Amino acid sequence: MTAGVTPSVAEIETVQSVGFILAEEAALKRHLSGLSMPRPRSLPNTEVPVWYRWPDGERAQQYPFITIDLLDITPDLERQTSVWNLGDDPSVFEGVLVDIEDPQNPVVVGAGQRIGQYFPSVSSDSMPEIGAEEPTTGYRVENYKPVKLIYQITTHATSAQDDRWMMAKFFIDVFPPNPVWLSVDADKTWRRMERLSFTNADTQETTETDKRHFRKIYTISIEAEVPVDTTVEVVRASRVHVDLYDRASETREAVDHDSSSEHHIAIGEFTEPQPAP
Amino acid sequence: MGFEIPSYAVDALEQHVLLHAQAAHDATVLAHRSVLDDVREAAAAHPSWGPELAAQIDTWDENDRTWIGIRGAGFESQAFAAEYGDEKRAPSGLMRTLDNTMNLAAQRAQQHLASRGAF
Repeated sequence: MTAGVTPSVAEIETVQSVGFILAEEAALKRHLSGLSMPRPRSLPNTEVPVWYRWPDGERAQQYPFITIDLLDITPDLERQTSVWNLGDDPSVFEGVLVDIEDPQNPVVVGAGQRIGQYFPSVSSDSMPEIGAEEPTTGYRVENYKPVKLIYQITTHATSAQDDRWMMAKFFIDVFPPNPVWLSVDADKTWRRMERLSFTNADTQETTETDKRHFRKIYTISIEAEVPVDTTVEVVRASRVHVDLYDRASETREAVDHDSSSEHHIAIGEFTEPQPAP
Repeated sequence: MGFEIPSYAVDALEQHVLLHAQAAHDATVLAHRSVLDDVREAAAAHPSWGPELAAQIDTWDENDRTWIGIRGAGFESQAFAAEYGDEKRAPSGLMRTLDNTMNLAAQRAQQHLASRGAF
């Protein structure tokens, strides 16, 4: 969230299904939410609501407001073909967030740290927090496909004052000229956003009301990734169990046999090595 | 002391340059055509654009840049509404999501140049 803009609109309810697109859209809506339109002294400030697409007719139409439209999902060829040294810059989560204020008693305080490139946004169901309970576990995705999500963000107002105020906020705080970094909660990443274009659509006629309609349209892109490999769980071995058998006199136990049961140790009772046939 | 280039070498070089210049021109025309055909096809199939509006899409060069869009005031407002949407229609973003179309056109142009031995 940028300075001067305070998030205050609730997160989207997706019943723990926060994945590709949903994660980015939730983050984008939060990024846009919280603008509070200043009003004359006697009136309270007006919070600018954010809608996915034009709000339904049943909803009381309150100006100004902001709409989000997904235009396209396109391959990000520049990033797909860029050089990426897997050895130096692996796309893996690794380790845990540890509070080491007291070096003698490090405390695990969070999920694994990101190393290297972006990790695809996924559901917390399918990608539990790494190391939160068991610090020796980790997850690895060998490869992913970078894509760009293209969005149209539109501000709607019925007064020039509101329109200009939102323009100022958008150009300075929401989508400044430099790349903007969008915090995505689902995978705890910062995604690069770019403002691709700005269009003044004040002249657009509307049949909704007789009000003057000021529209400013921003086209933006958000970096995202689509995994092209399956997720593999990596668990560090904490104990190694080895059984020794005399091939001539003993039958091998099943691979998944109970390693905690009593075992016969055959060492010292082996038959003499036989010459190879 | 002088250095003389035989006339036949100059002629051969000129022919070579002209050949490549023609190939580059043809590739540009091919790329324009590719973009125009693909965008018109996509527009014709889009409910907000439709065949009539799609037929008005054109490409042209202006200020050293290639443009694609609607030329002529008669269809501008319709095209604007189709592209950016309104309270009735979702924005199509057709003209703002041409990455794949442009990449395909570039590939076709490169293939043309390669077939002419320009690489």
